[in-house]
Amino acid sequence: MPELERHLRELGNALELPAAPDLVDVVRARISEEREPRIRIRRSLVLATAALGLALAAAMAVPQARTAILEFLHIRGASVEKVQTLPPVSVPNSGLNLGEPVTLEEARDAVSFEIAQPELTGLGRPDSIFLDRATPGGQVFFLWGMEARPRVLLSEFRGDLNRELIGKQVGPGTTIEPVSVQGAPGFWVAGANHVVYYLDPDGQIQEETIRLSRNALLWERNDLTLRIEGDFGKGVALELARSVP
Amino acid sequence: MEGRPLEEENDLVEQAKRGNARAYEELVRTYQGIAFRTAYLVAGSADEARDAAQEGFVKAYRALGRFRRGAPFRPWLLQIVANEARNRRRSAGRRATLTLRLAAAEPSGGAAPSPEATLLASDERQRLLQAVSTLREEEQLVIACRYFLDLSEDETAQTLGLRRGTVKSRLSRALVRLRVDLEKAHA
Repeated sequence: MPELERHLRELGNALELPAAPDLVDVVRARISEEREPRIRIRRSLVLATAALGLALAAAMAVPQARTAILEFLHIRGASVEKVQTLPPVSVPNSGLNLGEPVTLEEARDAVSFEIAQPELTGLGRPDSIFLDRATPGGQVFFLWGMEARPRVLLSEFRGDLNRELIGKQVGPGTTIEPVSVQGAPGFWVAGANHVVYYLDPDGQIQEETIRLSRNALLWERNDLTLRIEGDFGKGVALELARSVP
Repeated sequence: MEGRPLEEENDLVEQAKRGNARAYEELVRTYQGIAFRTAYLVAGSADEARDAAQEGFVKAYRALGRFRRGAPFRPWLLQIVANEARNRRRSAGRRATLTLRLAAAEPSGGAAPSPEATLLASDERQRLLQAVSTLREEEQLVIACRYFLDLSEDETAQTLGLRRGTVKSRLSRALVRLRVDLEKAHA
């Protein structure tokens, strides 16, 4: 073999490449999930499930639709628990509608609350951060994966989860279950497309539409609401939520 | 070279096709190292390489039905992985430039070099790496596959989705450019 080619091989051996991760467990979990969609969640599946191509959220404000549906639901007094229709979701071409990409510092400067920089079990730090200025007080999205292929989406905004409000807007095929995240109240929202209502810092009812995501976990932390979304089950969501510092 | 005897590999692939997950796990275990390194060289990021390798294994599993019986599994897999890695790199808006560096000096006192080996001094290695980094992107990739990953020309062609003749011509062009560069550096 000519010398140069031998030297190139030698160079290849001397290169500093990142250590290859062990993918056996995660690939096994993903494959078995495809073969058997409703397997019981084990801890070893947390990473695997989270690593599936995951779901997205679109934050939108549709005042007219909101008013109409709130009236329809008689939100302040009636006891409607299920509705047959939900406001149509206008999906932007970009798909995610997370706002503008920002650095953590920029997000910190822009919002009216202290941001908890998340580092999720098995996923580490987010790949990108977005700021949605349309949400009162600002909303910060942390995205794991790429915009085109999101894996996990975590958002933080100022808001109050009200059990009565949450329970009133459930569409068919969606279930809402109260849960506790490190002692704080939360809700596991599973099923079809759904809209989530919450009270903003001024006590106004606000709406968040979650698109494509079959499931979301919302929980409170002081005056913040945190939401984690993705194509995973409650066990995984709680596991991820618990790892938010 | 990472791999298995072809017969054993074919057997595992056939078992995996029939739904034997353990057989596929063996294939993952065997090829995850080369899959990750291939993805890393193409994507230029360890995180994306991990994702691409993982996604590549899952997609390959789904596509096993289309895998030609008796064909080598490794280049078929690497093509899927490299494709995933390329898509991720493009989504991230990065160019396909190798960002490689040499590992820290190897510990001395290891086994004596084999007589035919002409070990490069570390500054010469650095110079060679520098020369590789000035090659065109497409040339860097064939050099990386062929020499850094130790793939055959056929495997390099399949992994990068090129014709074998294209790999040959890119390689020989790259080698000429490297020689010229290195001679200039020595002059």
